[in-house]
Amino acid sequence: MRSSYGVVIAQVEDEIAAACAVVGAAHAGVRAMAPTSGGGFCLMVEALGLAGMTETPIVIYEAQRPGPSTGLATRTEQGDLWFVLHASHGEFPRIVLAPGTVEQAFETGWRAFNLAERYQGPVIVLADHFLATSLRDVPPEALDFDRVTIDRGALLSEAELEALVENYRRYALTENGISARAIPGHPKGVYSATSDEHDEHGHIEEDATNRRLMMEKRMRKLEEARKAVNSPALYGAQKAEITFIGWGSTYGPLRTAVDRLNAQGEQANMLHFVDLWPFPAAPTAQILATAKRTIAVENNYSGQIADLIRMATGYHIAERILKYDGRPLSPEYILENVKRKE
Amino acid sequence: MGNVKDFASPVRPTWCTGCGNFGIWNAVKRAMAQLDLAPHQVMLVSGIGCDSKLPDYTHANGFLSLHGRTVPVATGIKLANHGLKVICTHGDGDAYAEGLGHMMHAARRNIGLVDIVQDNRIYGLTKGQYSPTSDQGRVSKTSPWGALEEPVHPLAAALAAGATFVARSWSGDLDHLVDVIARALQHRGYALIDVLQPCVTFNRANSYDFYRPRVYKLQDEPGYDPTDQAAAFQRALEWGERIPIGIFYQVENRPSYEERVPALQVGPLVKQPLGKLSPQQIEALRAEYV
Repeated sequence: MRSSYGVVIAQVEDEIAAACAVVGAAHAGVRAMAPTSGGGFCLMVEALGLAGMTETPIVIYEAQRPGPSTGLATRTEQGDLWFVLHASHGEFPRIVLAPGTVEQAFETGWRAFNLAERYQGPVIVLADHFLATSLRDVPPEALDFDRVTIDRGALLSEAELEALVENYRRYALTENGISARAIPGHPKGVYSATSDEHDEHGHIEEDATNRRLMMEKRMRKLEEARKAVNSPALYGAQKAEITFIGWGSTYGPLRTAVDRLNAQGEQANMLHFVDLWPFPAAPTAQILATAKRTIAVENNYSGQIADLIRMATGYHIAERILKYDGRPLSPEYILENVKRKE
Repeated sequence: MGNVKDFASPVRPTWCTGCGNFGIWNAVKRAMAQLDLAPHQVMLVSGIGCDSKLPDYTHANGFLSLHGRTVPVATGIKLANHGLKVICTHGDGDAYAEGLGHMMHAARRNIGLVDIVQDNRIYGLTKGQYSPTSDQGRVSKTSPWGALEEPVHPLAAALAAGATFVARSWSGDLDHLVDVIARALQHRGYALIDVLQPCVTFNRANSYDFYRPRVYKLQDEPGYDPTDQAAAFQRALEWGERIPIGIFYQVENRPSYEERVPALQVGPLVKQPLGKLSPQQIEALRAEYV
């Protein structure tokens, strides 16, 4: 790796070490990410909770493969959505993003770091083997560098640290749950972070009231993050006879299926999700309220986003086109199954 | 010379009266003061255990992480800011059970960490189960018929992994411990210090009275050469009537990991600007894909 971009890449001994090193690096003030697939993510789960408790901004990139265990290690699946939503014990805010195209992957990359730093916790980019290993031609301007922003969130500047009059409270209780972060290294920003429950200064604290206040503070960040979550994108006609629902890498096959149906004189559209958690429940419910026939299309056995939508909105998607043979979805497979169900 | 009081925290330790951790805690603070380090220039990293509470009791940058994961967290901190002196303070369960693999890799990487292992040869926080360094045959709550395994020999393991600084001290000789920690803090690369630490509540076998007549200083041994790896191995396995302490092995001829990372040549990563790429950089990046 060329050093001119200011990037350190370290191949460490295992995924536990990778995720922990990323937490350490982010705690020390740099942006840090660990890429892995489902099996590796299993090992990163404890560190995910550590990032949640210490409010450390980290990014984990998880490319799903068919499990459980080694499964089909060189093939594709979307079987880990519910896993990443709940990974690690305890409750803490997290953000989950699932890009489906080259352009979305590019945007998700920089957004993930911004969201991690703004809400001070873990962000998971949920890709899959199909997306990660697919090649596609895009025009150079498809990777839109002009839109890239760098938002480090509530990060105290040297001057702000200098101006502190009382002892720094890393975990100060605030209205939106976000407490200003100090990069270790300044005399007035000295504190210790801990995986234990802690007080506003970061010291271990088991008091019941403190625990309640700290849980509420952390979870308030989830509600705050909900404001930054993108709604699912509707592709095709506003009103359609068939609405497909998909997420992540199913974008391509679904879009082609929609185009082909419309070319045949049918009326179809698709609702595609990149931002999955906190779940954009209100806009999803609004769009589905006027949909006619809805079909979830997923590269898994159970229809995980269909269940997630049910949980978050109460809307039940009965029809599901699913594929769990380790191979990606294709427009032909989708169209064939639409017909079969008619 | 800094002031030990600069590291005073309002939090009082929960350690038992007479715990060996008090000596280690004082030694860490004294060594930092001796080297003129201020609380914001160090990072104390720990895991879980009685020993791992040390950073919470010390006014300095700190990170109390997960059981067994002290070294990987510290590795990330060091790579992000190698300007900080990164000191790991954790117990034998943390370092040599769940964390043993990480120690071996940190040693062969020669990353600039001072790894202080508060080795009381028992799980104290969880009230008395045998640990990876408990002697074979040690009766404990989880080994009622005696521990079956051979104990881990941490110093030999670190030597085998290519560690460039391998030392042992004990919490009953504060001046010795301060000196070893201070030397480790000036070492280039990974430094392991195994500290014999009596647990007065759950390990009556390895008490102050057990260690005091047995420990001897390697520096007092005629002809002992701390750059002789084979000699260090031999002493690292010595345990029983005589227990060596001091610097078993130290060489400065290997650069640290952080010295060899290309992106860190210009200074700590956290001090490098984080900004949008210039148009020239964007063009160069795009060119790699067409």
